[in-house]
Amino acid sequence: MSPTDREIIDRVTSGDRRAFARLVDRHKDKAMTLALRMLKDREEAEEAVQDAFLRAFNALSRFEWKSSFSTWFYRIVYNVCSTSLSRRGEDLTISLQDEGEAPATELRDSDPTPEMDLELADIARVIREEIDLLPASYSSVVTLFFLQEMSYAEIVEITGMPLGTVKARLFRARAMLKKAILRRTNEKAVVTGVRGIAAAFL
Amino acid sequence: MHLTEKEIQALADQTIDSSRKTELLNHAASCKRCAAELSFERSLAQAIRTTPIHKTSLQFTSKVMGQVDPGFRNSLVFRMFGGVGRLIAMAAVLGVIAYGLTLNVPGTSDASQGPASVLFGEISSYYDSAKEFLTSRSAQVNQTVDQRASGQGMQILAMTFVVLIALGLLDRFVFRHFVRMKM
Repeated sequence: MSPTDREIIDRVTSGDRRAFARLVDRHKDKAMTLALRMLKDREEAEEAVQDAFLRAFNALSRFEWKSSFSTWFYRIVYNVCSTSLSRRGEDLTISLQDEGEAPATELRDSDPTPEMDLELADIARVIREEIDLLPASYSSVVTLFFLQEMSYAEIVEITGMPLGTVKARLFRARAMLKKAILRRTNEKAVVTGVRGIAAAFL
Repeated sequence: MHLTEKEIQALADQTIDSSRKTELLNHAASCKRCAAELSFERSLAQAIRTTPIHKTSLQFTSKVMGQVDPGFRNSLVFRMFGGVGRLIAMAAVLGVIAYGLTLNVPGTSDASQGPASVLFGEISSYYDSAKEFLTSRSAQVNQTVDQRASGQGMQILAMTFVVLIALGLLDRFVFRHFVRMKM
């Protein structure tokens, strides 16, 4: 049985520095996904994750288990990435005040009924591409919620955003993804239709 | 009356209050429009959850550990042996391919051998020469250097060097490229 995060951290704090490698192996890929979705640059994302691990290591003796290690660590990753974005002139906190709860729009009968009429592999590819295209403030929340399977409360703790903002960003991000999937489905339908017409005439 | 998008998302994520859950699910069960929306949201959520994650580079842990623990030498050892291991693996694979290509199919003559077979034949003959050269060299260790043997030795060294460079280039530009693509 593999040791828990707590057991590894206990070993590290009692002097076994090399045990930290297991913690790195365990969290590096998910941290990389979060960093890459925020920074949109592979090299920069890897540097950010590396920096986050070093910061975590240096602060490990002060970690008080008020939250899980992963929540604490992803907060570090998020902060490192936010700092990088600020250096680029992109600020995650912009318009936070403007974002309240998500609007409670009721469905209308005139709205088209959504259908996920794409092959499974296409859906995975489209979603990955579309998440990568989302602004950092949205893709980070989507990644934490769906990939890391974190609760709203944990996302609030990691990002420092108010609960309403987290919910609003998640709602809007999903709406963007939904729109993208439907657009791709329509494109596919158009292509299929054109091919059908072409085949009928040839 | 239909459900709101917010309610549908909350149902799909199972973050809805338990007090309202039954009421909303009952509505979705009797309303085709809302049922379709709920089904779409569930599929979308599932698809996002199963999106492949991005991986770090192969040496990432070694890099971090090298900074965490200056005495950590595994990174160097790992990289060295990792690299040699890949070269050996590639050499083995290339060997098997070359062996397969050089197999004499009944009814075919030597003249029908392809360029890979010819190349493999060349490499084999150089290594046969190497074996011969080392045997003869050990017998002549205290004698004057034989000009012919020396020339042959240079050829063998050059061939070894070329093969190693080729494997290195394959590793750098083909193998690692595919590893990165997979990630």
